[in-house]
Amino acid sequence: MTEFQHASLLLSRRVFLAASGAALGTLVLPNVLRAQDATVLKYALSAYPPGLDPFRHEGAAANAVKLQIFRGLLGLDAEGKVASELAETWEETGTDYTFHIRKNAVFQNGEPVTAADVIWSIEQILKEGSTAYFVEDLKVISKMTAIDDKTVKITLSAPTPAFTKLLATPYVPILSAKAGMEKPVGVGPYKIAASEEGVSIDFEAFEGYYKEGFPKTKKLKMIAYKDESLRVAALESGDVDIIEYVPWQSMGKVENEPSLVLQETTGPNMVINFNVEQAPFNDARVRQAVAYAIKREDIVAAAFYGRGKPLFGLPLDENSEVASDKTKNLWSYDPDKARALIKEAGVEGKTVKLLSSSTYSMHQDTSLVVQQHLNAIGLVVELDLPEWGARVAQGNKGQYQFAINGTSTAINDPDGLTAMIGSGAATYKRSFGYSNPKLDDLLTEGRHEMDPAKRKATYEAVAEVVQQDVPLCPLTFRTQGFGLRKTVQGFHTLVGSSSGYTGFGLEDVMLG
Amino acid sequence: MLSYIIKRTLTAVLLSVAVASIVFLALFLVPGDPAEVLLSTGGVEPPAEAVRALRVELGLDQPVLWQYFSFLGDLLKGDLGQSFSNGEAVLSTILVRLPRTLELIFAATVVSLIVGIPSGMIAAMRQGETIDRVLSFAASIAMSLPIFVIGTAMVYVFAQKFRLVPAGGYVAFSQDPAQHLLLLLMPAIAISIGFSATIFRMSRATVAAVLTKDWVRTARSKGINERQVMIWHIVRNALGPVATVVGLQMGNLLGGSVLVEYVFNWPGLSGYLVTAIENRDYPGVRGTVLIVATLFILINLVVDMIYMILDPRVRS
Repeated sequence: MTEFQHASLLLSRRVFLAASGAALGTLVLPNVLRAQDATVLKYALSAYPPGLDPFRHEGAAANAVKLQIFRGLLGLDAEGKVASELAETWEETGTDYTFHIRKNAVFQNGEPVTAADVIWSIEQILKEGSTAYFVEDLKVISKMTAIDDKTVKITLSAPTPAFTKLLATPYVPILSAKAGMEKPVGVGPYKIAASEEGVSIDFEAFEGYYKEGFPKTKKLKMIAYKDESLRVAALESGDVDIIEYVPWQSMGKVENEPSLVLQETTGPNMVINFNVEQAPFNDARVRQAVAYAIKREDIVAAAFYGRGKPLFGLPLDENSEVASDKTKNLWSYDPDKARALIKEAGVEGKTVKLLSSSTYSMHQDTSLVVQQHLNAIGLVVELDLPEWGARVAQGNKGQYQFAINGTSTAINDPDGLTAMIGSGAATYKRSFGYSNPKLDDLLTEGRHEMDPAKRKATYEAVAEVVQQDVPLCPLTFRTQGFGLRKTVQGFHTLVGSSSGYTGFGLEDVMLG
Repeated sequence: MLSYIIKRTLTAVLLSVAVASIVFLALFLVPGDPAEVLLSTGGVEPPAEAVRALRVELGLDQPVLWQYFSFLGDLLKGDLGQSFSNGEAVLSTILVRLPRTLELIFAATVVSLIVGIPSGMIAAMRQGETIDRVLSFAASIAMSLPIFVIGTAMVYVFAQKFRLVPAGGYVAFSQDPAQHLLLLLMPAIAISIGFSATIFRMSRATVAAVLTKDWVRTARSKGINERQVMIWHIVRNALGPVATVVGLQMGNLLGGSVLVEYVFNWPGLSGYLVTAIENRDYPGVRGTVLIVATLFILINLVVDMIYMILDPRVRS
């Protein structure tokens, strides 16, 4: 053999030995390195929070983080009912609410929580040019008074059953007026100990938290896993204990795996919005035809892997206090009726453009199913599938004929319907140009009706109008899922609109 | 030589500013107003005053030309502006994210060079033989596999099935060096599968071309030992083009490693760029593109230098 061949063999032998040494090394390392710290609760976020502004809506992942460091007057318990947070007790008399702040409540900087802080925080939300999520919703507050250091009286301009529910969200945290908005200081069960940008946030228990004995786990780590398959893989391998937003295609796997638990709950809905300022959807008959033409089970099967349910009624939470037969079954799958309506309206064979988005497969797949069913009843549907940001822009400007949308209400209150079917400024969340004075009157009535029976009747009347006028076409409920390792105890997923606020309960969780 | 470097550097600077300017203007053509997008995450129509207030806060209400000159002005001060999403200085976020991508690229490059060049040389020396055919075939497959397929398959096999490594993620080197390197291993290998195939192909081609040259035959007939011939006459001449390809690929990876970063949850610069685009975070996008373009130009400058060292003929 030539010298070169010797040399090349030597080189390759050396390389081979080095490589196998490294490989063997990695076999040893993981077992040593992965002796996990059992006292840290690890939670996988679906994204790294783009920001931590206390009043702005910055996405679900940001809410999960904010609920640990900020809290408000009220919150939600394990059953999703409004429960005490900073407000130990409260009384309501029509338009007046009196909140009694817990005597032992202090901010994370040690300062006691006072009525002045409550008033200041809400003023920040309501002030001129505020970008707070609830800036419009809280305009129902007409006056706030500090009765004493620990008592606040809030007066509304009209009775509003949704008011306490609004306070029981992550969007009305009480902050220290002294610390101000530069570096907001809250009262949550955890403090942020460290954060790695784009990666993870480390929390440690706030010793002065007003609930004795909470949080049950002293250390919490939230890690961002943007890729949903990786999130599931991390849960399976034990890298994390809890994951949010289990992708539908993996729900079966998590359910069947003995070491994991799937907590599934209905969440947002899928609907179709219409641009009623142009033909053909300015004609209620055509909108009705759409409502009867679509086989919603197909959407559940195709877009959501069977995880969901058809929605034939008002897009309310399943456990809504006003849900009844009259609000739940407004249409059915009746392609013959749909065809007849299309003929009657004279739009047979008309080409229409359906707006959806390629960014989210659930939106895109839903539009494909809708296209099929509408083609079958005599329309010709073309799909417009821009990226999400562009889709939102088009929606806000009314640059569509009809569009697929995912609705979510901030609170489990029927007044969430106002944002969807009431009149208002142009937004992608609402059918463009739709304005029905009768509906607006009913919605206003419902918003301020404190008597449960009367409220129910009002929304049944709303349902009747919706059935005829079809301001939007509800399609399906979709389910949301959290995945847990079996060792996680005390974690309760909240239902419907509240599923995104499950973070309230992380203080209850223990690793067994 | 010095004047050449100065000229190239100046050109590089002007090129970077030109790229940044184009991106700046292009962002305004993309549909979707940043203030609206930012406030629409809740899916609620943001009240018109809120959008207006945010636009003022972000400086979006000013005429485009004004925004452009203020961007250039900040640039001269070394300020890349503040993110629309979280208000943090873009430069500091980039400085956190960039090293992560750089080390990923660096690790992938090292692995690819170690695998690609020797195998390319062997294949060139034994053209037509079995070893050459096997290596070339493997390289073709490696180059045609999409990176997200490789990445996802690796996660499935090594993390889920065999539990050898964690399923992606990141730990700072200062916190846990061993874990850090372990987590770096998988994405680096994923990238290097395709990268080393490219280097293999290039090395094989250039070495094969050089082997036929007269001076190699002369050197051998002069009695110089094979090892010397390899190092001084073959490799030195063959590696120039390889260096160019490596430089281009490394530059591509700066912006193009987003799929790998996504699949392995490696929080690098590419992932940040995509998120910034989704969120219409103009300063984030501008800053990142500017830095990436500058680095790309720098890398190519360095590659040119290396080429000049390897091949004196280029120095004219």
